[in-house]
Amino acid sequence: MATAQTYSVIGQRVNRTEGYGKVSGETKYIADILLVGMLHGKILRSPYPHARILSIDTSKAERLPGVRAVVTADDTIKQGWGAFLQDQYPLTVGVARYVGDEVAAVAAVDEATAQEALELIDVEWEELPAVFDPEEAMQEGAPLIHAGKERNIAIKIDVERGDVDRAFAESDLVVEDTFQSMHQWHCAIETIGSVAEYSHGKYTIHMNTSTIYMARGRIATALGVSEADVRIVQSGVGGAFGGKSCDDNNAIVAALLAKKAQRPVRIINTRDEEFLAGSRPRVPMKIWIKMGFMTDGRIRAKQIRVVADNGAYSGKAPAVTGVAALRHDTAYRFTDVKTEAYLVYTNKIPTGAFRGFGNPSAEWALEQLMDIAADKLGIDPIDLARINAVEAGYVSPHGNRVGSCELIQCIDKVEELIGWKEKRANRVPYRGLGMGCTVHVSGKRHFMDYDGATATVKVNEDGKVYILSGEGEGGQGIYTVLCMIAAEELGVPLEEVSISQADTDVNTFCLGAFGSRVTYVAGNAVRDAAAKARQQLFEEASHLLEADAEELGSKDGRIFVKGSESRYITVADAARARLFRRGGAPIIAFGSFDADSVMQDDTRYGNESGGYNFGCQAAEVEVDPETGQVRVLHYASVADCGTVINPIGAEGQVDGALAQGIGYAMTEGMTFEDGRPSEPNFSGYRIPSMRDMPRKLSSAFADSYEPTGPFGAKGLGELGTDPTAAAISNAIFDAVGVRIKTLPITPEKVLRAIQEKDA
Amino acid sequence: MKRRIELTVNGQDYEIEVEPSKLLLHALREEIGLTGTKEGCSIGVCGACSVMVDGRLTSSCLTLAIANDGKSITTIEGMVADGELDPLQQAFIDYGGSQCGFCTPGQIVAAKALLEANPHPSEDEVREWMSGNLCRCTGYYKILESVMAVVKQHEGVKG
Amino acid sequence: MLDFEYLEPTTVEEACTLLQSYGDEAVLMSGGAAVTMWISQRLLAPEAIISLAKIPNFDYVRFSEKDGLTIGAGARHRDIEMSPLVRQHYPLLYETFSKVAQPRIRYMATIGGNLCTGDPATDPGTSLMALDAEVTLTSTEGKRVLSLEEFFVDYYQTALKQGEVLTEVRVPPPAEWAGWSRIKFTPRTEEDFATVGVSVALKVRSGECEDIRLALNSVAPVIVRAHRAEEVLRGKRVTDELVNEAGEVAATEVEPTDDMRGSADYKRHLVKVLVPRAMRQALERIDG
Repeated sequence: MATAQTYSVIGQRVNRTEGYGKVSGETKYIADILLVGMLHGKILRSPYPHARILSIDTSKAERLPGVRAVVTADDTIKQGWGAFLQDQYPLTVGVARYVGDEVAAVAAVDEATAQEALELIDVEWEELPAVFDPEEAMQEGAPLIHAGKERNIAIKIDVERGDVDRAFAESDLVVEDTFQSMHQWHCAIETIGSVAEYSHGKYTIHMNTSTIYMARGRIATALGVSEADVRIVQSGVGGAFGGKSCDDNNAIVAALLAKKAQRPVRIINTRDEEFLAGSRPRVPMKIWIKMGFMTDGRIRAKQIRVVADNGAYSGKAPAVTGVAALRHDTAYRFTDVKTEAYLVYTNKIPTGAFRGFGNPSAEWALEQLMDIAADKLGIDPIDLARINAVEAGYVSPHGNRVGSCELIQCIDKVEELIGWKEKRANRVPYRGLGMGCTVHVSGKRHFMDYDGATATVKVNEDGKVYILSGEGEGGQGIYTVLCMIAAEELGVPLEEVSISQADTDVNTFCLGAFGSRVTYVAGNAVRDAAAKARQQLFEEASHLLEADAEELGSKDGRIFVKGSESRYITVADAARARLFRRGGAPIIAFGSFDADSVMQDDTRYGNESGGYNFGCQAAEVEVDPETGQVRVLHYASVADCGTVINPIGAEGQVDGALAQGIGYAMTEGMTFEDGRPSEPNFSGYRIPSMRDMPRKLSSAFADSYEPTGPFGAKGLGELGTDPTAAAISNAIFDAVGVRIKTLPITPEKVLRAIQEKDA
Repeated sequence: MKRRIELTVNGQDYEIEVEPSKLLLHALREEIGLTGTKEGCSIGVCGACSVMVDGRLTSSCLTLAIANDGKSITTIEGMVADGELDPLQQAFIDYGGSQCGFCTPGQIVAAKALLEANPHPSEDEVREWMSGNLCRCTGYYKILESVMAVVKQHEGVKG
Repeated sequence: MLDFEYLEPTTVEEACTLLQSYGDEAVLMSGGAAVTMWISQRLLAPEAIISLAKIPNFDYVRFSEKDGLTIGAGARHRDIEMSPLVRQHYPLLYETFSKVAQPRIRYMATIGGNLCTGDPATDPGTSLMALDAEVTLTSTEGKRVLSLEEFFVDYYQTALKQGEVLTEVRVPPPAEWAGWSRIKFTPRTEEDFATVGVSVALKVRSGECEDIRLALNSVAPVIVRAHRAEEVLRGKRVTDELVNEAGEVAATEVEPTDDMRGSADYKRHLVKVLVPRAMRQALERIDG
């Protein structure tokens, strides 16, 4: 149950710490960085989905006036790299595997010259047979995309817990169906970019990445140097959503050019380049799912088969597939489950991490099958969700241990906010309601058996507080949350706290933004550091106030004796007193936290995360039966993220996640022609605008508290994108009795389904 | 061949030399050094490059610098006066209308253009106007709230 | 970097002369949005750009009972949308122009530039066609006037000859086109090119259709007048059956293609559905 607390800073509606720069235009993003002597880089990309390079001649390009460097694979160590499988090369070694694959690059005095030079690079290609569909790619005889990866299978997941055959036999109702999800591009308004420098054996790369240490490691591997020889400095980041987590080659190519040219080199993706080969889009998955239920609605068994489209290189797709295969078993009570998942190479853009990280694809299937089952069981879908929803203490079949959990409260609140029962009792023609539940992690033990964070907090002599953290800010409000935690713990006003730029030379190791980890994991580290700094302050203050440290409290920048607040000194007083004396020292403390999670073992068993966040969403739609057009009239979204540290920020995360969910469900979608995205721009690929959002959004947070989280908080960032598409599809079924099983939901599909149903 | 043109930007006169194909967007960012205006899509859809030209809301990626010779341009930087933020800028901070901040300059300039033409727009009018500025972070609700907060301030001083 | 001459004639005659002398090597620029984009995306590399922006009085929006609406080719979509004359006398045009792209683009793009692309997916030409609009094409040899149907020749092709500049759009007096409707169907985002666009103008007296105009965009290589569909209603008593039949007939007068906004079949179906829907809306405007 939640613990009600009053805080000075936590839970207050505060202004974003870095807001001034953003509204004034002063914040410097990667394209705003200008270094003396900086060159402009451009990348030559494969025009073919699968082709061998017979020869490359860069001599004409090199001779073009204004060109300072041209690089090909010969300028690399020809080492594959990648987050999980090292299957991607900075520049094509022999074979290009998708339209957009990096082949060569040029650094020149300006962009136009670099572009002209690209056109002077002569590449002799031998086209190879290509394969674009993952099921086809798994067939015997399909073109092999990576040597040694038989049937183009990058990874296979095979997990069974309990005995599904017996469980299905014991089920009163068995339902099954197949669902197909699609690519989704991050479309951060700022594209990927970097500015690289090389000096005396060391690379310094300014990047708009949200994971500076992970980037450093991968870039070092790709370049064949040690991590200490690569410094990553985070620029302002214009949105990431998982798309700027260094799974692409932009920074590596910039580094190669910088070394060869002996000058700083900047490469900023154009928008169509971003679509072709920039951020790695969401992994499309075909999911066959079968579930067994008892008549009272309890889930008895689940079996799924996933075929996921890896694209040409793996990046984070292996982990995404793993999440899609197993994560959802932490939302409902499961015992007997079986998963078979294949991640399959195709000659298309590499897929990877995007907010939700596999959950949206899995829930597109599972939340719809729940809805199908509800219909057949004669149980209201929202009741079916409640019957099966997990509670605190649940342990999933894969070992996920749920701490705090208010999923049922989320369901109850959604029911109320959308008017579920009333609307279903008073039906309006062509209107319907649908819902879905979700679970997500607050960080996950993925990499190197580390699910932790570190931070340093120092208090200056003027009483101002400075956090050294390498987590970085991608726009989601990390800086503000961490500053709020430090402010609360130290007892200083938020305005007195600031946070460093993320820089691998300056900070200690941080995993960065992924897995909704920062508030929970890094927040705990910051709190730890702040608590230790406060202890130092109190030790000093205890001398000055002639009281025991245990008798002291701090608030609004003052340290006082509890019970007689007029006896106080300022934080600045304490900091100065500690420093300016014989044997003095500054107030500075190091904090660390590692979550109580475990690496999944070979059978993928293990408690992934220290905290699980939950959510429920519902949509009210209206369908035009003559055109198939669907309008979302009202949307309800309730999240359990424990304590809401920054309400404005948290609401913003819910809103933004919904927008991406709506885009995924209805407005986005790309067709491919011979492996090439057919309209790689914002005119062809439509992300929602203000008018495309549901007129009415009711959002709320569950009353919840996670004891292991900083001030009771858990993660939130991804939750809101997970069940949206399924909720909308379920609502369409409720409205007109047709179910859309492939994304995106288009009026044409809805109309066809209605026509088929009426025929 | 470069051409010499004159631009008045945020009240200050500039004389610059640009290639004929140089976009106004790049001239502002590179020649004049005002990097607050952003490039998001290069085809005039996202609105991150929005500026005002002679008071008119314009996609600076869809107009050549030389086509604006002699014109008066307002960028996001011009909305700050002696370190004081314009009420719209302040509202975007106060109401969370800005997350990553990349679309923010364009959003604020667009809102400014709207309120200069129509100080008392309805919510629907704001929605329609602001639909030309894409955002991937906020989901738009707090952008609308930020703009409407300033509209309400205007109502406070309505005659 | 791409180099070109940038010419700013101050009269239409000067513009025509320049255009004549540069021939194929020059491109006209009006609002500039499209041409600038084609240049920056490296789709166009002209020797010269002839800008019409410095020609005074090129963006007028005038109305007289006798001549109707005359619009200078340099008038921006926003000028037309916001003109009180247009709102009062041509509500179909107000409705149509207000749904083109979004306000920022409407501020930049001109009607001349729009019509001269010959893009069959655009909205203004559709409603202008439904109101019997004509365009004036000026060259060093003189002027000629074409209906929009004559002007739109093929996919991205207009009847503009070498050396001609579109200088004016004229819409006849609105007279008794009391019934009108515009439906722009966008299945993905609200702002988009239409998957199907329908513009209807109706004259109905005592339940009989005296005259009708039906134009459609995004469903053929050009913006089309659906003449046969019009014939279904022209001179007849308006009934539900005939309105539906007009939709069926209109669906046979279009040649949609498959694209990211819908399949050809779907677009044909939409024509069948949206033409009667538009007609009913137009009829309501007469009654209401």
